[in-house]
Amino acid sequence: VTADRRYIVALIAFEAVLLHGYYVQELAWHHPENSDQAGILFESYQLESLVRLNGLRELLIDLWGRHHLNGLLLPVEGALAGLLFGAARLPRLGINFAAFAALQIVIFSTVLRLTLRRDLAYAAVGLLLCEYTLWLGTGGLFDFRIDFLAYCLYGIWLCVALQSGIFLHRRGAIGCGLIGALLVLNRFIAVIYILGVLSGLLAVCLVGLIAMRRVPAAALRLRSRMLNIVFSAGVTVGICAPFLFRNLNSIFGYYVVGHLLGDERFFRAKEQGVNTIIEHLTYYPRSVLFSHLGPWFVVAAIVLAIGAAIGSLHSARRREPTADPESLLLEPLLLLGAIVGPTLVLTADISKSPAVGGIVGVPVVLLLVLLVARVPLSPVRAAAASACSLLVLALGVAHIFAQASHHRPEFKQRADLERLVDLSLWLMQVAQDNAWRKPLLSVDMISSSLAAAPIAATIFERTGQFINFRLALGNDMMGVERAKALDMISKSDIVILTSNPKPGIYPFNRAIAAYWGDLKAWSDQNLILSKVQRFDELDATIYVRPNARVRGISGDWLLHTGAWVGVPRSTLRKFPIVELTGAALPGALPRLPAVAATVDSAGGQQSIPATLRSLTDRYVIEIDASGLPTDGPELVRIDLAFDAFFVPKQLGINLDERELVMMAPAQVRVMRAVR
Amino acid sequence: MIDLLFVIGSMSLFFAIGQLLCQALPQATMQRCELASPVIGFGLFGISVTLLYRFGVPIGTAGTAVVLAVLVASAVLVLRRWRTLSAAGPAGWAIIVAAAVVILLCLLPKWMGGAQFWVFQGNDQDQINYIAYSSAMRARSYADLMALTPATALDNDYFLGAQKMLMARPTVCLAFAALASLSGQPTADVSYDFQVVMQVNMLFAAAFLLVNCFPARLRTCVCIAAALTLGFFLQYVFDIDAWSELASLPLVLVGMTAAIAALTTSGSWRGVACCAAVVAAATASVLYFYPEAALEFALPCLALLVLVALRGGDAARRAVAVGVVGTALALMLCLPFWQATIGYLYRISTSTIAQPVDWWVYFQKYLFGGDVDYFGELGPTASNWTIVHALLSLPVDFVAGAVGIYFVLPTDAVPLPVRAAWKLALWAGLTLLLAGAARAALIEWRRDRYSRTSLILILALAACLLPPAFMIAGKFWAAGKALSMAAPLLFIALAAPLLTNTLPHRWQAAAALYVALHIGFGVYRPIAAANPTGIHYASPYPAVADPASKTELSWDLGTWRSELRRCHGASIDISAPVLERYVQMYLSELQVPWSSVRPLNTYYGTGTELGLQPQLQSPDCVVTTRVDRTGPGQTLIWLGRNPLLMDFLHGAAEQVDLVDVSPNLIELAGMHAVEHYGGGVLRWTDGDAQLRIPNDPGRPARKLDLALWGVRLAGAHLRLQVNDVDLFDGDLADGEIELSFPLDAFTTAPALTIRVVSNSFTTPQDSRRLGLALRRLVLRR
Repeated sequence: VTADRRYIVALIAFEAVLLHGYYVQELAWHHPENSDQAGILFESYQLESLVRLNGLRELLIDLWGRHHLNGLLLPVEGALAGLLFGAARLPRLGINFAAFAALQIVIFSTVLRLTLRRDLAYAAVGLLLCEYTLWLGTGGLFDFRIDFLAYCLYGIWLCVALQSGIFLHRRGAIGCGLIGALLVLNRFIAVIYILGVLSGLLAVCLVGLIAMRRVPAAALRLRSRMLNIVFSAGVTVGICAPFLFRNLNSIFGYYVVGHLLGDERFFRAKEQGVNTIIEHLTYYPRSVLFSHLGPWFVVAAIVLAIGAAIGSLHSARRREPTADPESLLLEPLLLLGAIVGPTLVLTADISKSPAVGGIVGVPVVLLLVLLVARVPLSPVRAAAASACSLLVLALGVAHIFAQASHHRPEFKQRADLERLVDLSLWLMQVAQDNAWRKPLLSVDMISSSLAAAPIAATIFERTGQFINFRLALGNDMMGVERAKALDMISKSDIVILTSNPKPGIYPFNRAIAAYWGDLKAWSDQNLILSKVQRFDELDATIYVRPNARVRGISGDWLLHTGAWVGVPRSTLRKFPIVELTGAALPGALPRLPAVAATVDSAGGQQSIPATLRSLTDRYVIEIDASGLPTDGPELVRIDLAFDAFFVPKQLGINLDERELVMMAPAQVRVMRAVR
Repeated sequence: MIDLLFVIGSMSLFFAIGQLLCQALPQATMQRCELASPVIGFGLFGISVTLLYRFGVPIGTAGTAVVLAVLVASAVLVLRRWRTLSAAGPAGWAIIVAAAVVILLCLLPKWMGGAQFWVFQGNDQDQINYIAYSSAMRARSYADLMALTPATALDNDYFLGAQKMLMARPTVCLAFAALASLSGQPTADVSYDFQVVMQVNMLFAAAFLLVNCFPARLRTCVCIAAALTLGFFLQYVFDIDAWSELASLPLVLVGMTAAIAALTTSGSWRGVACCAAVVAAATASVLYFYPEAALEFALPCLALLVLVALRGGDAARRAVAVGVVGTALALMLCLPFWQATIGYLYRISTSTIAQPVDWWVYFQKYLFGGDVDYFGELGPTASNWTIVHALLSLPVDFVAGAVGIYFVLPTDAVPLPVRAAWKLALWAGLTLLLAGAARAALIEWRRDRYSRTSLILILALAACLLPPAFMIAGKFWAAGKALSMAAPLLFIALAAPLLTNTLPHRWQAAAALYVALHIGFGVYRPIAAANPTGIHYASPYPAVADPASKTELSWDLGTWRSELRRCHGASIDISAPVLERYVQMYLSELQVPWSSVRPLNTYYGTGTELGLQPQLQSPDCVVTTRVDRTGPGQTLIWLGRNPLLMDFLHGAAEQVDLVDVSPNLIELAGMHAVEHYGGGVLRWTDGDAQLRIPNDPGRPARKLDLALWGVRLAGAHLRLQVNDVDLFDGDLADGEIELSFPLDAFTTAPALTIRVVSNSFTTPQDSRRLGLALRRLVLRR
């Protein structure tokens, strides 16, 4: 066993080296692909930044204080990994790898314990390595989303369940419950898989109990199992229930509305080429077989089966009597349930995803190996059977080596992906120049690259700086009406319009295609065309909201003199109106102040028109710089002065002796004309 | 009577041929070897006439030569073994009685359904191809056919098809042509009988396998063999008109039985050699009749040989001997006609199977039940329950279809709760059936994994692996064909609980019910065939590809035979290409000169156009489905099936409704297919519908009634014209409308052209352009 441990550790070390090299070569240089991965990385990077700013309590706030749609632990785990190892994506992907390594160790020990055959334990690891799930662009080891972690944790959960003698032993059952809780907190929907499998097992035990009520030993074991199953489920539910209830509304919105009631599920299905009922019914079996298990696995399984067939020839040996004969039936039933249950749940969902079917990958391996173990092994042919098992391990190692030796499909788009990184860094510069801490972005397409999360994640990975980009238009695949779209881009700081046609299955694209010209016209009219980024398939035109920066702010207040507005002259040429909006004027002011705006020019101080309006909930200062000369220094400084103010100390409000006028403006807009 | 004589005569001939080889099988280790004789005889007959034809002997002469040779050989055999010959014992009589019953049940559909049923079933094109090519091979020698070019083929286009067939396993056509020649009957008239001969071969093949591989009683074996012969699987192969496959399946079973006997015979090497000879004969026959079967069965047979070889010792040597000798002999027999056998197999495995074809949507629809539309697009109103319902239904539908009992599945006319309960019961029944088979196999495997029963069950299991493999690879049509090839073995495996004598009765119940269902389906066939349309089963069974080809067209040329014989020249004016081909072939056999008014095409309008034939100068007969095509003094051979229309035109009826009239019968344009709606029929126009119907001035139509369903555009506009004269031109009110117009102004017109013009529209759910929904369009006197 010690030697086996060494071999397995060596294998995992080999994998670590191989996969690290693969990451550096194929992934590190470009942005995180896939919307889900980018979204989770975004959350995780944001959390890490918050922790670095505000301390570890942010982790607790994230767990309990924020709402989570489909899982809550992964961003926290990612942030912890980032804090621990100090890098961005690599330590987070390390979580996936750690889970996969743990799975290999657990599956090895489980098969060894159940079959007492080392060759089959190695074969199980080999089969695992032959699966293609590891390499999937969506839901694979290099995709930081909940699917791969769920694949590993579900497998470990099953292994622990098998090691517990199918819940015969209390400690194993509790361990199972804890792993189940970890799985559910990472992926909420797994609670259905776990409780479904446990319910099925409970029912089987109940039937068995009724059938074997006259065999006291068997009845006792079945009773223990039933109790432990309930206990295990209780542990899982007990840990997860508070979090699930806390996020009930989000879960309802994501799973019930999104997957059971809304229209989005149909487009998700169409996206995967699923239209007819038969395609719906066969999608996951096909996905599992072709995308997750793959040809290497099939070959390895055939090799294993041939080994079993050869090993069984000339065999008259029967299975030794066991002290727990029910487990002979319960083991395959548990694994069958673990395969069929999630497949049925996923198939019943109209929405389809290529990433989620892999959850059954580990039970398939376990079932295959345990069935092979049931075939009586002839001592004469045992060597041949073992050779086949080791061949399976060799196939597994060869598979990961072969896969790691290939470029990913993204490599062909290397130039484009590097341009995307450059664009992200440029957008960071824009946000910094304008002091936008939460820049609002609008994009005219549903994209996993030109979106807030991948841009922010790329910036964080390259600079360690988190800028909280938010997405307005382009956030939802469902269609957006013209007026709403125009409203969204009017509120956006950055607008990206793309040149590619907008066909496709998403209603969003179809809707945009109808009024794309209006979006373009509005952007041309009201925004600054700042950059045209050419990609192989499209040109992205980036518009930036014209902006001015207010300086000379004292704390949060504007004083009666000293504040000034800095605006690039080039901006003022096209957008001469500067509008400052802030909270309602304080009641302590003796009267409505008049505002004076002056600009230094070659001829000395030049006054420009400025007005202050007091509304019930805000004030608005409008400065008209249209009279300024078009040439001169690029940065124009517009000094502001007010003819009325109040001193809090004089009014007995507090000890502040400053000459306050109003709160600093919350919004600065630079416009073509007064609205 | 002719049918019976044809079948019994053919079977006797094959028995005599096969007996020459099968009587050498080791009687000590094999039982009822004579059961293999008709099957092997059929195979050897096919090979013999093929090779004789290939090397220049006309097919009729080839058939006669084989018969004479067999007569001589049989006489010698009888004389040499006179003393050892004995009369059929009780067991022999049981087989004879079973054969008689099966032959009668197979022929009954022909007698009860008439030509409308028997000319073709589910695959009109292939069926008419087989008949026409057989007719061509009967009429022309190999050299004549091979010398044809597209230009010379203008005389008779299907001869060109026969030329292609000569390079693509022509044996089944040649065997049929030889038998038809020997019988002296028109090729078409005995085509169904020939199919019955091939179907009945399965009885002998299956019985031979069962008595030699299972410890069951002869009666049980014969009963299960009869169930297989009469049941779904053979009916299916019969009805998709897959002649070559139908010919090959019994040969496969006999070959496998002989191989297993050779592998398990512990007696002399002479016995092994005899078995190997039968294996070689069966294999060669399969390669001649249907090389595709080799794709299905080669790997399972190889796996079996390897399994036995791994045992070592004598068994290994026997396995190698049977494998090598059998295959080598079979390949040697294929050498003289390599292109049409192994060459064809190579071509089809590298091209045709690789082609994605969607034929399975029709031919394998029976695997998908009758109440759930699995191939329909999931609409935006669908809920997850739609998926769940389909998800729970699919396994039952699919497994019931795969084991050949699709007919016990409920249709969508049954209320949902009843359907659900029904399917749950089927779930249980199918589970018991499969579990029983698995249990029987497991017990046998544990008892003796090298017994004949174990080996045949291993073969069955291995053969059943190919269909899912094809399915996984996305080759659904190939998967369906592989399933139909593996079906006899699948059936035997499922009936195993009745055959192994190792399971208690409760395990045998499901298998017994399963066998009974297949027998019941066989007994029901003649009743179903009596349907006046000639369509014996409803969808999802592939009983007819285009129902209109049977409901609107008449295939009963026999009733016109005397008129046709009197014709000096016939003009063929038939727009349905398959019927046109059938008529061409029929007239050719009657030696009536003919010409077709339409350009000839190499394949039913979808192949290459060959051009227009030189037309007969003054044909005295017109063969047509149209009612308006005869000239003065011409005899009308009318192959339409709308007696109401014909009666109206001949004055025997006072009115006729044209709403469901077929374009095969009159000139018609701008009308979509007939639909059923509101308890009646509905037919959409496309906005401009036109019909032209002959009008006899002696008995003219005097009134036109038009009734419209209420479904149409609001404020629709109608313009109704007869012979370009407006009868109505105005907007239509909402709801159903009935209009009536006198036709007195047109009494002297030789024809009435009715035009229904309206505005039209499309809907998101229907890509057709829709005008008005016609309910009735009635002409009255």
